[in-house]
Amino acid sequence: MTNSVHIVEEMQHQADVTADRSHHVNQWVMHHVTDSGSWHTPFFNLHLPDWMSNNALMLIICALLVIFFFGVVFRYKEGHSPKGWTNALEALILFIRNDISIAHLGEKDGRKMAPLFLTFFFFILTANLMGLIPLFSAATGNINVTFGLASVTFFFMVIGAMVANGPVAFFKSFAPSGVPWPILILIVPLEMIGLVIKCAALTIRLFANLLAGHIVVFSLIGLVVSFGYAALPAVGMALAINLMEIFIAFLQAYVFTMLSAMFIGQMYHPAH
Amino acid sequence: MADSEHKTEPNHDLIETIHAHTAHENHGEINPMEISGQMVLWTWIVFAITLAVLYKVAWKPILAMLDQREKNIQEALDNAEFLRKEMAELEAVRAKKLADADEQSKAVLDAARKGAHEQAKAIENKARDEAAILTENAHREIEISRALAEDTLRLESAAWARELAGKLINENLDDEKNRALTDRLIGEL
Repeated sequence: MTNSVHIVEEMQHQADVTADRSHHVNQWVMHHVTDSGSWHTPFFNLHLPDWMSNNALMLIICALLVIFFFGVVFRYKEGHSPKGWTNALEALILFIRNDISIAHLGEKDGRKMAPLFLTFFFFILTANLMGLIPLFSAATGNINVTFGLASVTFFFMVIGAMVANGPVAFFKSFAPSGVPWPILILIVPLEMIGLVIKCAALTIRLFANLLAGHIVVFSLIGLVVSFGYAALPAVGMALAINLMEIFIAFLQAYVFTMLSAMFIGQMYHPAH
Repeated sequence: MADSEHKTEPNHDLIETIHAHTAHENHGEINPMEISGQMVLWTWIVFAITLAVLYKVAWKPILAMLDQREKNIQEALDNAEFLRKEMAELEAVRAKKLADADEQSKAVLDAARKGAHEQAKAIENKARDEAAILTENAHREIEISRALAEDTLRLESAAWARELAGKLINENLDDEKNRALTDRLIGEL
């Protein structure tokens, strides 16, 4: 009798220990996927000032990387065919200019706005991929960053469209012609709300995809912390998810850029 | 019991690490949906600077270069097409010239052949004429010789006849009268 009580107690204790560990793993994971005031690496711990945060630092590193790649690595010699990185990046540049920017904004506006979408794509892609490299974290997993980027899209959807078509045409685009006025009462507010929702969707989509990916990877590795070596196969799954994250990084950068171009294009050419 | 305590040891380390992290943050509860104006501002600033720098150092020159290269490739293709057409035209001209030359040489050859033929015919005609003249001359000479021979034969025969007759009539007859008689007889013949 005493023996079985002892076994039950022991099991209870083990369950408590695992639950305790899981709770801490959970906290640890959430801590690592959210912004912090320092940059922890196995080699150094950088405590950042109050006006700076880990994600802000990552954004700056990301910006420097993008500028480095296109300012230094990307080289085009007159009279020579492009090679290596130049060739790879050039294919992406042409795709974004032709199949995203010009496709959604037309020949004239598309060419003019291509730099914005190119910056969107490569900035988001680099930030996404940084999250997969040890030592760095993904700034795009922070809702404030994605909100900041989506607000740029919103700015061009509103201010850009007003400059391009005039304020009257901008407000007219909320009321499609030929629609009876009682329905307009319904449609106009919906269209206006839609404008904001589109940007909110952009914000959430990018942030949630990146955050969820990292939580999954960390959680799978966290299983090893919670359950010991029995959970070792989870590391293989974490690796598989990490590989998928590479694809997600490209996909989400593409989706954000493409949808931004589509939304801005719709506001620039409301007749479409 | 000691064993379970030993197992929980790394757990304490983990808790300490997390406490240390969260204490530094001063955030308390971690919330990934937390909105921070500061981070939005950072995003705007960094994005705007990146956009401006990239526009200056990358997008403007790269896009201009791509347009230029697109134009160059199009020009090269157009040029190649133009050259191909020109080559085809030159080839046609060459073929035409070759055909003309062939025609001309054929004409020259024909003309030469015709000339030679005519010349040969003329030479042949001339030879034939000359041969005819020669034949005629020969005929005439034969005729003259025959006439001469006839005359000579006639005279010789008459002389022989006279001589024979003279011998027959024992040389009685006057040579003058006999000759006249003989000449008359010959003339009657």
